Amino acid sequence: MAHNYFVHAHPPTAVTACVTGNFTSPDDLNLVLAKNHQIEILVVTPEGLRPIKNFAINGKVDVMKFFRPPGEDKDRLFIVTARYNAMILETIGSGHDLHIVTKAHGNVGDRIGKKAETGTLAVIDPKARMIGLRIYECLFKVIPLEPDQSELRAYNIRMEELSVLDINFLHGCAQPTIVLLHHDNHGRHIKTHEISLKDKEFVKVPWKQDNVEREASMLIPVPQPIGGCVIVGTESIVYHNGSYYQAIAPAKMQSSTIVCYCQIDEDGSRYLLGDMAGHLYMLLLIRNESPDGPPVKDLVLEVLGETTIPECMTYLDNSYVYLGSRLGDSQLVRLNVQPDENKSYVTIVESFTNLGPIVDMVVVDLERQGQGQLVTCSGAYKEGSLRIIRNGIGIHELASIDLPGIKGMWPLRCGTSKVYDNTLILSFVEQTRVLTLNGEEVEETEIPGFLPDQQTFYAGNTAHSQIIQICPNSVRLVGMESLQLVDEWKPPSGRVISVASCNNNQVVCATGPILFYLDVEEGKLIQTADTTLQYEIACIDVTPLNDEDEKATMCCVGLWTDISVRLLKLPSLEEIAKEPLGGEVIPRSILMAQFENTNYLLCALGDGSLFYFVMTTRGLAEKKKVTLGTQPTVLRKFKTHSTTNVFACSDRPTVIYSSTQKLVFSNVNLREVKHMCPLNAEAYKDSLALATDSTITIGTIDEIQKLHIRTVALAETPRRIAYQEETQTFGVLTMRHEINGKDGMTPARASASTLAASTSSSSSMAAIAHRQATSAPNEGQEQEVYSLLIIDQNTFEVLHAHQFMQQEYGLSLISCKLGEDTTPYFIVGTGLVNPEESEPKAGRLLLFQWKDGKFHTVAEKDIKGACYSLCNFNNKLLAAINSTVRLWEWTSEKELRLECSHFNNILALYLKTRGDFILVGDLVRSMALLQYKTMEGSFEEISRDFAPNWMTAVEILDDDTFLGAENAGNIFVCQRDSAASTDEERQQMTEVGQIHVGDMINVFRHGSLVMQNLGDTTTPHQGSVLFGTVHGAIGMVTQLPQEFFEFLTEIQRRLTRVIKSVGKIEHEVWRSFHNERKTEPMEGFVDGDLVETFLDLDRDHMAEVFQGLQINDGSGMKQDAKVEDVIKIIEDLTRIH
Amino acid sequence: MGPKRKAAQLTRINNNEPIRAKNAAKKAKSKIDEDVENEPLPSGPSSLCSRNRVRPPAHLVGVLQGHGHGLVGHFNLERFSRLPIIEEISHYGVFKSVTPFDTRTTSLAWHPSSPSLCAVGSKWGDIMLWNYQADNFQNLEPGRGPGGSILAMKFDIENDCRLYTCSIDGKMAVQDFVGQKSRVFLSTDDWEHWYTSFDVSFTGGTVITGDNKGFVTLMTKDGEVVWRSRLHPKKVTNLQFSPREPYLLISTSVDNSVKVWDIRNIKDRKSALASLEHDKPVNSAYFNPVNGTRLLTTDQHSQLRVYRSPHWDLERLIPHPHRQFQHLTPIKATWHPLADIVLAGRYPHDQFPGYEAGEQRSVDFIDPDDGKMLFQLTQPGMNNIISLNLFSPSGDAMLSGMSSTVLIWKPKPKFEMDEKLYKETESNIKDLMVEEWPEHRPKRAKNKKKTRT
Repeated sequence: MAHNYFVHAHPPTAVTACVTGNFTSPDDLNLVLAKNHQIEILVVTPEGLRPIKNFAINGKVDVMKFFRPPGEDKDRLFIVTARYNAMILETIGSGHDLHIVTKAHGNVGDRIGKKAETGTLAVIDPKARMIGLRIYECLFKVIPLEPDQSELRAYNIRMEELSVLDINFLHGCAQPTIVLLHHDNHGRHIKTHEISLKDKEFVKVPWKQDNVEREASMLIPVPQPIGGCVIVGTESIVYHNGSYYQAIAPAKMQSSTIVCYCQIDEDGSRYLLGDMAGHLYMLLLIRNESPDGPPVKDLVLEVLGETTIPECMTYLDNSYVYLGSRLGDSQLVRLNVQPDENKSYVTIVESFTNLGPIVDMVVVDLERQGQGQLVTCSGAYKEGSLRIIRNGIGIHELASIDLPGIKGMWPLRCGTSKVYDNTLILSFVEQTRVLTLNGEEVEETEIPGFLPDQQTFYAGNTAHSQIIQICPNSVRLVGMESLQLVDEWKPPSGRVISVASCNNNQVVCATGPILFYLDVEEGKLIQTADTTLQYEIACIDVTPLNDEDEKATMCCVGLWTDISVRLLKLPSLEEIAKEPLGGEVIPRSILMAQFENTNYLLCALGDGSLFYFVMTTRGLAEKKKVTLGTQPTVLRKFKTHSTTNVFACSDRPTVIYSSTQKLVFSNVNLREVKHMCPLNAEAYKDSLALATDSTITIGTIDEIQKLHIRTVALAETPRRIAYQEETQTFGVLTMRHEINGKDGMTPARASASTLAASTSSSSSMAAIAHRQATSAPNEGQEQEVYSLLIIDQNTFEVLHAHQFMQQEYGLSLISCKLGEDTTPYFIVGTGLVNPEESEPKAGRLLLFQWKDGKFHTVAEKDIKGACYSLCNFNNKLLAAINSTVRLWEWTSEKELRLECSHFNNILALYLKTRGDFILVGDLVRSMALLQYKTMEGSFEEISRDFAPNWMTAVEILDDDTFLGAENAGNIFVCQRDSAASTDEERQQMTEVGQIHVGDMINVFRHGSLVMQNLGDTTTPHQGSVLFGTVHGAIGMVTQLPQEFFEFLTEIQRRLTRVIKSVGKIEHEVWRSFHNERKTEPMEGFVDGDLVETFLDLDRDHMAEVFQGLQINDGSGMKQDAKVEDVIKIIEDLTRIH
Repeated sequence: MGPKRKAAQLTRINNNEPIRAKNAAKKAKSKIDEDVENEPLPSGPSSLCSRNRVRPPAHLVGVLQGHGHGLVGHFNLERFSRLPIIEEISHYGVFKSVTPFDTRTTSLAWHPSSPSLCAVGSKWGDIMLWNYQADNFQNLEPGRGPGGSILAMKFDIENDCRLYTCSIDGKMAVQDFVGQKSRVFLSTDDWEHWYTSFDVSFTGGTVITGDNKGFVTLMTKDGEVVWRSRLHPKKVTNLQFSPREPYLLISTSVDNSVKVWDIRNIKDRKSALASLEHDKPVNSAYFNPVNGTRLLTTDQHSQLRVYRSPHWDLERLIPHPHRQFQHLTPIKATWHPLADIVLAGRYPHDQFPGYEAGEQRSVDFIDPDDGKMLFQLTQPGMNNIISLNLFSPSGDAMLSGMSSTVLIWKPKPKFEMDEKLYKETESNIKDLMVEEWPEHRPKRAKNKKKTRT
C-alpha cells in the first residue's frame, strides 16, 4: 500500500481563460480568470484590478463564458471542464459573504465519441437560448437554456463536417444559427446551420462559403447592426455575411499566427487580435453609411504594439485590456491614442506572474540556510525565463549593528525632518539609547528630554510636532525640534507603568489593573479617563484601525489571570466586548489592524500561538488560532506599498497579511527576531529594523507573498537547467529562433544567448556530414538554435553562451564529476534533427568545463540518436538515447567509453538513479527498474510496470516505490515486490497509488521548499518530492505513516461531505485516475488541497467535520479529537510545503 | 489611429468560388502605407499550436518539446509515437517458437496481468497455456480431434485463473486452469450447430455469444440467458463489447455486414444502431485499445476497413491481400495496444493490385490515418501465412499463429554476440521443445516434435 500526501505549494498560474462581465453585482465590472482548476474573481476599480475571491472547482476548466439570461441584471458564468462537467454559476451577497452558487450543473460527456483534436469548443447563443458544445467529432451538443433549470442536459445533433476548427453563434438571427469553420481534403470552408429548438436538429443552411484561406482558424461573430462574421487566417482576414465579403491580406500579420481576439465595442466595429509573437493588433470594420449597401465597407488592421504571448484576452473598460497567457506572464495593458517613442500604442500597466510552463527545475540552497529554493525553466519563446522560487519572505540586509539585549525599538523623526526617520530609539533593561541615522552612518546621541537610564515602553512622534517617551515612571512629551521636555505625566501615588500604547494623539498605559487614558495636545498631556479592570493588564494597544484616523475610538487589552481580551471604548474606557482565550498562557502582545477593509484583533500568547478575531460592531467574532512559534511573540504593524502587514517577532518570524479576504501567515527567512520596527530613513527607505538577541539588522523586505518569486527574463525558451555548486553557476539549455535571410541566419530578437558576455559555438565532422545530407532551410524559414548558457548564481548574468550546430537540439543537461576526475563538468546530450527524418538518428554527448571565466569543450562523442536524459550514475555517465539506456565510463584519457546498454524501451525519456538502481520512464511503456550488476558490468531489468502509461516524469521514492506522472494529468505510485516468490511477480510492478492532478507534470525533484526541522512540527512524513507543471503549479508528494494517512483520509472523507464543491463535481470523481483508457478511484493518496481547506471553515463546519473523529493521543489509545488538535495537525501540514 | 487606407472594392459572392484577399489595398497603397507594411515585425514561433490554431511540429523531438509546453496535444503525440513503436518492431525477430499441435492454430489470447502468459487454441480443440519467459506449458484442454476447433478465447480479468472459450463442438465454457474446474455455459449438443464467438464484459457483467446460424445470446456472467435473437441471417464470426460502454456491441458475420448494437435495445435484426456493409464476408471487427473510438474490420478477401465513432462512418478502406482459404485460419487484423497501428498477416495474391513477384508472407503494419504501409515484418527462413497476430497488452511482445506453429516476436538483441546460436530447450512438458532464437537464424533441418499429452 502507498500512503502519500499530495498538495500544491503554489497553485497554477497560467491563465487559460478570461472573461469580463457583471458578475458580483450589476454595478461591478468583473474580470474572471481560469487557471486550470482555480477560478479568480477580480473587480475593475479606478485603482486597478482588485481580487475579491478565489476558489477551486473539482475539474480543469476547458471553456469559460459569461452570458446574461433575458431580464437579468447580472451575468452568469458557464464553465465546462476537461471531463465534461458543465455548470452555470452565479454569485450572491458581497464582501465577506460573497458566495458562489451553482445554478445548474450536469455532465455532458458521451463515452463513445471521439474527442475532437482541436479541443472542446463552447459557444452561447447571443440571446441566451442555448449553449452549443463541440466536444466530439461529428457531434454538436446543445444545452437548451431555461430560466430555472438546475440540471444541464445536452442532446446531440449530427454534424456532417469532419474536422471543425471553430464554431460561433451568429448575431441577429431569428433562430439560433451557428457558423462553423471546417476542414477537408480540399481546404477549409465556412458553413452556417440554423438550429430548431423544437426539432433538435439543424434545419437549414442559411449560407456557406467554400474554400476560405487554407490556414483560416478563427471565426469572430459580429454583433448587430453589422452582423455576419470575420474569418481570421494566417495571411488574410475576411468579413463575410452570406451575401458579401470583404477581404484583406496585410503583410504585417504574416510574421506569426493570430490565436485570440476580443471585442472592444458593443456594436462590434473594433476588435483586438493577438498573435503567437505577442503582437497586439486592432481590427476595424469600416461601416458603410448608406443603408442599402453592404454593412462593411472595408477592414483595417493596425499593429498596436507588443505584449506577452496571449492565450486569451478581454477588453475591460476605458482602454484597459487584460491578456491572459500560458507561455508567459499575464498582463493588464492600456491602449493609447498616441504612440510612444517606440511607435507602440500599448502601455503595460501590470504584469501577473506565471511560472508555466515549467519544463525543468532544480532545487538549490544558494544562501545555505537549510532551505531549498527552486529555479525553474519557465515560459517559452520571447517569454522564456528562469524563476527563483522561495518559500517565505526574504530580508535583504543593508546594514547591521551588534547590540545585545534589546527590549524594544522605535523610529523617530527629530528636528525638522518631515518624511524620513532619522533616529532610532533602542530600549534595554534600565537603559534607553538613541541612534542618529546620518546618511548610511549610525551614531549614538542623546535626546535631552528623554530619560536615558530607564527602559522605554514606547517612543514615537505625535501630533503638534512632538515626540513621546513612555518609561516605567512617566510619560514624557518632548518637542520635536527642541528635544526638550515640554510635559510629563506620572501615574498617581508612585505607581509604575507596566504596559503602554500610543498613537498620534492618544496614550493608554496601565499600572497593574488600572488603566489610564491620556490625550496628547500641544505642549500638554491630559489624563482624560481611568478605570480599574478585573485583573492586571498584560498587553495593550491603541492603534487606530484606519490609518487615516487621527484618533482611535477604542483600545484593546489582554488580561492576566482570566486570560481574556477586552475591547474598551475611548475616551470613556467602557468595556465593549470581552472574549476569553482559554488556557493558562498569558497574552503577550495585542494589536488591532485593518486588512482589506476588515478589522481584526490579533493577540499573541507567551507560547507562540496567536488568536485572531474579526471585529464587528457587536464585538469579536470568528475566533481562530494559529501557532506561529514556540516563544513569546511580539506583534508590530508595518506597511508595504500602502498595504498593512503585521510582523510577528518570535523564533519563527512571520508576516501576517490578507489576501482575498483571508489572513495569510508567511514565514520570514530569518532564524529569530525579537523585536522589529519599520524604518523609513533617507539612506534606508521603506526598510525594517530587526533585532535578534545580539544584533540589529536594517534591511528591506521582499514583496509580501507566501512564495517569493524572482524572474530572470531570458527572452528565449529555457529547456533544461543544472546547478554547479563548485563554480557557483547554473547551466541552462535554451532555444531561440533564427530566420534564414539573404545573409544567413539572424536571430529573431535579442535574447540571453545573443547578449551573453562571451560566446562560442561547436561543430563536429559527423554533424557537418549530417548537415550536408539535409537540405538547407529556405529563405525566411525559421530555425531553432540551441545554446548552453552559463549563468552566475548570484547575479544571474549570462557569463557565456555556447551555441550548438544548426538543427542540433540540446535535450538534456547535468552537472557532475566523472570517474577519478575531480573537475566538475556540464554535460549536454543533443539530437540532430533532420526535418526529413521523423526520428533523430544522430546526436552528441558533450562535456564542457567552466573555469576561471573560460569555457572549454573537454570531450564529445557522437551517438546514434537523440539523448533525452542524462544522469550521474556512480561517477559514470548514464544516458537515455532513443530507445536505449547506455552507461559510459570516463577513462583516464578523458574519453567516454561505452560500458553497457539496455534496450527494452520505445523511447527512454526519463532517468532517475538511486544506489545501483535506475528508473527508466518510457514515452508509452510506463516505468522500468534496472539494476547495474557491478561484477558483470551490465544492466538487468528487474521490474517493470506493464500498464501502458504515457510518461511525463518519473521519480524514485525508495528502493521499492516509484512515482510516475502520465500525460493525462495523473500521478501514480508503483511498488515492486522483491520478496515475491516467483520471478514473474518480482518482475512486475504493482500500481498501488493513483490520483488525478488535472495538470501535466513535467518534472519531479527531491527537495523541499521549507526549512527542515524547524520548530516543533509534529507532522510525521518521509521524503519530499516537488513537482512542476505545464500550467505553472508547484506541488509536493510526501510519504506518510499508515496511521496518520488513515486519519487524514478520514478527515478528507468528512470534508467532502461538509464542503459543497462549486459546480457540484464530486471530489472522488475529480481525483480519480482518468485517461482515455481507464478511470479508477483515487488510491494511496490524501488530497492535501482538500484537507488544508479545513482551516478555512468556520467553527460550525469544523465541528461538523471532527464530530466523533478519533485520534491517537500518542499512548496508542484512541479518543475523540479536539478541534484545536485537528487545527494544529493541519496547520503543521501546511508548513511542510 | 494610424494611416487611412483606401476602401477596397466589394465583391458579390459566388459561394463556390474560393475567397481570395484582393490585393487592391496593396496596389492602392500610399508611400506611408508601404513604409508601415514593409517594416518587419519580429516574428514569433510558427511551428506550434495553441488551441490547435497553428500547425504542429513535423518531427518527434519538436512534438515532445511542444507537448512539454502544453502546446501539442495527445493526438499528435500518439501519432508521432507510432514512429518509435514501428522502429522497435522493425527490430523484431522470432524470439521463441513452438509447435505444440498437429493442426493449425485457430485462436490466441494474452493474459491481462501476467505479462508473459498466453493461451493458444487449435483446430482439434487443444488449448495450451504458455508462459513464454519460463517455457512453462500447461495443456488445458486436450484436443478432441477434428471438430474441436477453438474459435475464441478470453481470460477473466476478475479471476485471472479462468479462461472463457468457445469451440466448434458446440460449447461455450469457462475453464479454471488452477483448479481445473470447467463450467459449460452453453452447449448445443449438435454437430451442425456451434458457437463461433463470444465476448465478456466484466464491467457490464454480461456474456454474449454468437453461433453459426446467426443467433446471438446474451447471458449474465452466471450463465443466465437474458435474450437470444437471430441478429444475422448467416454465421456470426466475431463479437466484441466496446471497451468504453458495456452496452455497445459489435457483431460481424459472413452475411457481409458488421453491425453495431445497443444490447439494452435489441428487438430484432433491424434494431442495429448501424450496419456497416462490406463487399465480402467479414472475419472480425475490433475496437482500438487506445481510445475505443475506432473499429477495424477484416473481410475475407482484400479489404481492411477503419470506422469511426460515434456514427461509425467509414474512415478508411485499406486494400490488403488476405483471402480466405479452406485450410487456412481466417486472417484477422488487430490493433497495436499502445498506438493506432493496424497489423495483419499477408497472403500475397497475384491478382491483388501492386503485386510483386516473390512477395513475402509478412505481418503488415499499417497506419490507419493514411492507410500507408509502415513496416512489413518477416523472419528469414519462414514463409508461411501468419493468420493470427496479437500483441501483449503492454505491447512488449507479439504472439502469432502460423499454421501449427506459435511464435513470440520480440526485439532482436542489438549487439552481435558470438557463439549464441539457435538452440532447442526442453519445456516443462515432455517432448515439447521450445526453439529459442537469439540470433534468429533459420534452422537448418527441422526436426519436428509434437506433443499430445
